[in-house]
This record gives sequence, C-alpha cells and structure tokens, in this order.
Amino acid sequence: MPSQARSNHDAYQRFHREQMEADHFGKIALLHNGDVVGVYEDRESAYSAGITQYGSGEFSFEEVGAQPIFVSLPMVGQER
Amino acid sequence: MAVQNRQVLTETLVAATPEAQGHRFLGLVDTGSQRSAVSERVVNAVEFPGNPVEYLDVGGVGSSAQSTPAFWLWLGIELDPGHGQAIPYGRQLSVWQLPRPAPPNFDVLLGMDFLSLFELVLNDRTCTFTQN
Repeated sequence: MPSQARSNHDAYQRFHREQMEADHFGKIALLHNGDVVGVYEDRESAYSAGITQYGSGEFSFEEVGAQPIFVSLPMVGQER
Repeated sequence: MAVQNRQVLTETLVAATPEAQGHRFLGLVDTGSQRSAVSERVVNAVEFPGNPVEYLDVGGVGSSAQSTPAFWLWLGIELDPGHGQAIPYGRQLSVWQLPRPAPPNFDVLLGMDFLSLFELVLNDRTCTFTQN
C-alpha cells in the first residue's frame, strides 16, 4: 500500500493549511487519511504518535507555516 | 573530517533506526541548510527506510520549489572520546531526498537540524566535532 504522505500533503494544502496557520503556526500537524488528527510541538513527538497509532505509511506530518526550502546546490531542480 | 576544495566532508552513518547497522556515506557539512538531506542512493541502501513521513517543497537557485519526500532516518558520525574507540553518535530526523542527479562528491547533506548536536571547530584543513 503506498504511503499516505503524498495524498495527505495535497489534502493539507487544499483543505487545512489556512486554518492551521491561523491557529497553530510553527507546530507540527499529524495527518491520517487526509485529516489533521493531532498537533505537536516537534517532529519527534508527531512521529512517535503516528507510528504508534497508525503504523508506517499510514500517517504523515506537516510543519505549519513552513516556507519552501531553498538550497544553493547546483543540481537541485535540474532533473526529477 | 577533511576540508577539501573549501568543502567540509565527513564520513556519515545512515540507518533506519539507531539500533540498525549504519551504512557509511560521505556527508557535506552545510551550516547554511536548516534541514538535512540524503541522495536517492542512500534511501535505496538503507534496509527498511520506511515510507515518506512528509513532503517538503524544495527549490534551488533559479528554479521553482518542487515537492520532495522526506524519510525518518538516523544520521550519525563516529566520535572519538579520546581512548581510541570511536562511538557513533547521532539522532533520528526527517531527512528529505535530494533530487537526481546525485551530487558528485557526497550523499548526505548535514544541515543544522543535525549539526546542532555538536560543537564544531573549523580551520583551514580540519573540522572537529564534539558532542554538545
């Protein structure tokens, strides 16, 4: 079964991001089946909750308010 | 740790969990990166790397951000506490996957989420890590 991370990321961007940034900026949101099921202070806590409650591939998380990561490595963005 | 061509490179251990046998890859110390990253080769080498735990938007200079998977991996380096026996020390992190093509001279990008575990002393030729 494929990971939920991709579909959860899309669901977060479409349905949850705006409200979460208003309410929980800087926290880590735990997602399962496209829904936000918890809010944590850090990734370690979110991972621990996700792996315990749902198992590998059945959850993902989002940093609320995260900006894109820009890196100076020349190869980034050249090929996918 | 060696400083080569003005880059700080160090042997890095990567594993799915702290208990697993770590695979050795060359890591680039990059204090300008907030987050650590690994090449696709690293993800493929680690037994049971698990599923992605998040997707991050990552962009390079002059290119738009692209959605990139991140995996929950243990990164570490070997510290020598002074009696000749190196001890692996590191932490589990959400580590994003570098896009293809892989960098030519390293497979792990050590960002500040990892480097903050250490005190680093850097000069012209060497970089020394000490546990914080």
